[in-house]
Amino acid sequence: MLMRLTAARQSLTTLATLLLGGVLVPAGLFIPVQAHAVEYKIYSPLVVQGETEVELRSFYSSDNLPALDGEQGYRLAVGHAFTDYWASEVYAVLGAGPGQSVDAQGVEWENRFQLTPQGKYWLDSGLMTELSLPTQSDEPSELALIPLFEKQFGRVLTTLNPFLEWQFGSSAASGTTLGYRGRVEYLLHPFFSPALEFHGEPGMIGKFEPTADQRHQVGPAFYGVERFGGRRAFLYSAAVLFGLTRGSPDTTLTTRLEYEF
Amino acid sequence: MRVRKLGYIAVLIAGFMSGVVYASDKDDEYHLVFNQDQQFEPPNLEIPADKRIRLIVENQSSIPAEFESFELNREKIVVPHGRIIIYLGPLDPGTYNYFNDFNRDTKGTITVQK
Repeated sequence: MLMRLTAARQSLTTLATLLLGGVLVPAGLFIPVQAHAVEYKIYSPLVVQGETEVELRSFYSSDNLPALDGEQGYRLAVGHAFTDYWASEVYAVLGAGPGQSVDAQGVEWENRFQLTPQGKYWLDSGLMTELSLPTQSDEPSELALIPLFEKQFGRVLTTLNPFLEWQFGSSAASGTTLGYRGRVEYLLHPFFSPALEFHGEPGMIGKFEPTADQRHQVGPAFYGVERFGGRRAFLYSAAVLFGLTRGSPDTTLTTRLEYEF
Repeated sequence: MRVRKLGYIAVLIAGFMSGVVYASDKDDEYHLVFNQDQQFEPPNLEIPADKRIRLIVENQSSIPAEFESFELNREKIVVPHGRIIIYLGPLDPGTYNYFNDFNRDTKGTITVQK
């Protein structure tokens, strides 16, 4: 069974690489290889039944230190909301560590569950699970559990995703990794809503690195949507994140493009 | 160390659950109908400010509709002959626009009054 899983993972990764190649190469982007678990998307707990989406997002970090400079990642996803409380999405993941060329990192499967009706309670809540299967058989797989919180104050929308992450399989580190992602967004206009995003990862619970060596980033962002009717829409966002510690990249640019139908 | 790990997870769960408190079955109820002519009735709904309400959206037509509003931050599908509950408020006084995402010419307003 393990051999079948490995073969399936390799097939999926090959397919993912071909799919991403079909998108990124014509777009003039450089397709690389290597994996990093850094994730810069912030998730709402709300699920809209029947929505299908295709998503492309990326990040690039720069830093004075060679150990942090040039880290980059790309994700291409297809997802669908099957009910009014469950959406599922599959990702092909590519990326590169500092000084390395981009390569296929693996595939991810996310399931997002809306747990409470929007606006019924003080806080809107949901839960997401994320399974990451790496390209390389000697790298660990990862499972993350991500509670999703959202609260609206007038036109100000705040979203928080703390997360817990575990590794399993080859070379798996023991322990639970703790991290967080969040934003404060002002719903100014559908085409442009400014926001402040924050991302961080204190590290393994019980074995946190010194604060200066942890990753903590914050910066401005914007979100927008162009709706075409018939439930078709084009969503876009970008953020520039600044490192707050020496363990964080000085600057990270993230972009997200999404087509819903 | 194991106790500390469990403590972190417990804090996470407690924070998760504490944010879900406060629900009331005593909210005022308002009704919006997507009729067989595929129009919203009433075209302008009035609700009170600074109060949470339950908006019942009923689809009396044979095609799906989607209640969507950027100002209200709401997006929810209503299946043919189905009904949904949308919780709104407390809202500041003003006029909020919404539309049917399946046909954006079909729209209405919700006026929030003191």
